[in-house]
Amino acid sequence: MTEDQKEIKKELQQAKEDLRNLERYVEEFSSFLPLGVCMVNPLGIIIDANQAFQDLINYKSIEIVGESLKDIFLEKKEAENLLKGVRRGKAAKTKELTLISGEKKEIPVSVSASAIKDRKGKIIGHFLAFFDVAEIKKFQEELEERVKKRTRELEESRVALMNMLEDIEESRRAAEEEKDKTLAIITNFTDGLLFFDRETNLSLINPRAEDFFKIQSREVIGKSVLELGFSPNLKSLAILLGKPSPLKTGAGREIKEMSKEELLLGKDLILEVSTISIMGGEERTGTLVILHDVTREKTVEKLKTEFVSLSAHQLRTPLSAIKWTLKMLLDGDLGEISKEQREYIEKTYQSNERMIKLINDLLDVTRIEEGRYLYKPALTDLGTVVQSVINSFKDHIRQKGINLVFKKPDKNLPEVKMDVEKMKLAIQNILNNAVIYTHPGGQVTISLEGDKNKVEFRISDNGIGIPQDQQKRVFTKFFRGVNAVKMETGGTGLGLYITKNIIEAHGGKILFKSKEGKGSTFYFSLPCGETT
Amino acid sequence: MIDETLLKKEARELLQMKERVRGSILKTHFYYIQQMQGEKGLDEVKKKLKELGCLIDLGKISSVDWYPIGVDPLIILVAKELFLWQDQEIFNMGSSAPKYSFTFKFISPHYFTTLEKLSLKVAQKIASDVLRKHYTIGSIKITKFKVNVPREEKEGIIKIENFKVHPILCHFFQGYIFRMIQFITGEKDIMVQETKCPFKGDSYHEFIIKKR
Repeated sequence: MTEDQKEIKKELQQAKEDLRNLERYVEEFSSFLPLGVCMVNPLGIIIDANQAFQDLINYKSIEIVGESLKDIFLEKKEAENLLKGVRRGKAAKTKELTLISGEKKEIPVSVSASAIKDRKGKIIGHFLAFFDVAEIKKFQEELEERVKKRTRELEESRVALMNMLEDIEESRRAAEEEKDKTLAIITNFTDGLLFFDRETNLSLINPRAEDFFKIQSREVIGKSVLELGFSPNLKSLAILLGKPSPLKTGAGREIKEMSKEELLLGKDLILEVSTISIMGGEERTGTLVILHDVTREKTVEKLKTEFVSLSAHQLRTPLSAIKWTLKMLLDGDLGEISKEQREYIEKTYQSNERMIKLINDLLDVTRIEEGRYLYKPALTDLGTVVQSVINSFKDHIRQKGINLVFKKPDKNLPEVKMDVEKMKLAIQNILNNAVIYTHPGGQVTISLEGDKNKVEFRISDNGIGIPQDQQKRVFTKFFRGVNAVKMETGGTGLGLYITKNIIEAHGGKILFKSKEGKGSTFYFSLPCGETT
Repeated sequence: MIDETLLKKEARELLQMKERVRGSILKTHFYYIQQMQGEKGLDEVKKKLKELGCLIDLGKISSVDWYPIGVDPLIILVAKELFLWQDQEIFNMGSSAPKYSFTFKFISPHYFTTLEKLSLKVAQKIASDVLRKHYTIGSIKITKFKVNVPREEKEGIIKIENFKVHPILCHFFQGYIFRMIQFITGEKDIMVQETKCPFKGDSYHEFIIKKR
């Protein structure tokens, strides 16, 4: 054997060894590969299949090799197209197809195909790799179902949310409109309005209030009552509204409750100030201050009072002259008069007396309203005053046959600081009403009670009473009950008005209860001692 | 029942033959037996072969190495005797061989480059290549090869000359040719018949391929 032959033999053996190794490698690799792989020739005939592919399709190699590739797919046309696609292009193609297994079971797979080429680049077959996507498909379907379900739920939630948002938007619009309306009302309100929040900081002031105080809202919004007290224009209001501070330096931080308190601004402007607590549910959210311009009413009232006062004064002088002239006639100072003449003159005298009474009452009223109803307070026993008034009514009571009982307290009552003349007038008015409006033979009972703080006067009758629907007006000027007018035409309708003012001027309170046809009870209380 | 005496005589004669067969052929035999009869069946065959005097290491056969040509028909004979296989089974064995022959898988793809213009000449080349890659004896001649014609007219005649090893291989070749034709033409509905055989007094094997 020549050297060349030896060399060739050596190379041949090496080549054989390489081929053996290659075969072993290919077999092991093919067995190990978990991915199903098969090789097909250009005719689409399967010429090799690895173990994973055999396991996947459940055919032995001997059964599947030699079969046409398209026969193992459900989508035969698409399988052919897959290979055609690979033949046309360079890159591997992937498609989802369905394998038909040995037990005729459909297996969804992802198939990747690539071309096998010879040294010249010619396609000599294909490799196909099969990835079982059954589990993935199942998972994907479940996921899609879950996504669909979740999407449906989200869609439903979205719709519900949209509906809620629409409702909220609707409510917001309605609230906005309501707010606009409220603001328009507040802005155009003829009364001045101020709103203090729960911290008593001013949060709203309307243009009318700005006019009253000649201020701009931006200057005062957010300020507390205490701070407003430092503004010259608002000082008087702040003092009126604010509860006195513990240091007595002016307005405190809290707002007083008040109704129709008068506030004089400058020389010409009179405001009636009322406060209303605004509640949000059970919680107080702030205080509304209403400023009502009563300048005109007060001016008219003042002019009216002045007119009445002037008229009354002018009337009283001639009425006094008439009174004394008639008295002289009745006393015979101007000569004898016949019985018939006496009767006429007496009637005229009584009418004149009623006129004088009316004038006096009117003068009292005008004094009260002008604030000129001066009192001369002195500590006095109320029982003595009451007895004095009863004594002045004795003849009248006896004439009418009324049984009057005065129940005095067992022990002495503390004295009350009072203007005796005015207090007598107040008691006279009440007692007079009791006597006039009680039928002859009726009962009138006066009693006094008290403790160290107050004294209470009470007068009850079983007279005609006051109709229920008129009781609210009892203490107003010129009020007379319809049943009272029928019974007695002489009343002025000013007595209880004057009485109420007198009692309140002494720091007291007057109340009553009455039932038409059954009688009435009036009672007032007065504070004792120097507290008046 | 196995005619042990006859089998031993045949084995002795076969194992004395000087020509060679490629290991890939032997491996396809074993693979087929293993597929059909399982590992146990394969072990029985290997054991029997050893008893019959087959000295090669049957567990380490390499596809690329050459072995005594007599081992090829002897494996088939043993399997036939052990499992009482009929001729059809031998045909199937032959038709299965290209499916998992390493040599075929390794070399056959290169034939497919010419499939589109498959002619008698090309077919002749392919057939010769296959024979040469598996056996050290014999030659192939294709005398008729009509493939690019209507289905009904497809026909071929293959002659294998100088190949007289054992008649059992005739059935094996029938199956092998059938599968080869299918692989390179895609046609499955064909039949392969042996019309001449050296063991019947002819000078060569002749296989006719026709539409079934």
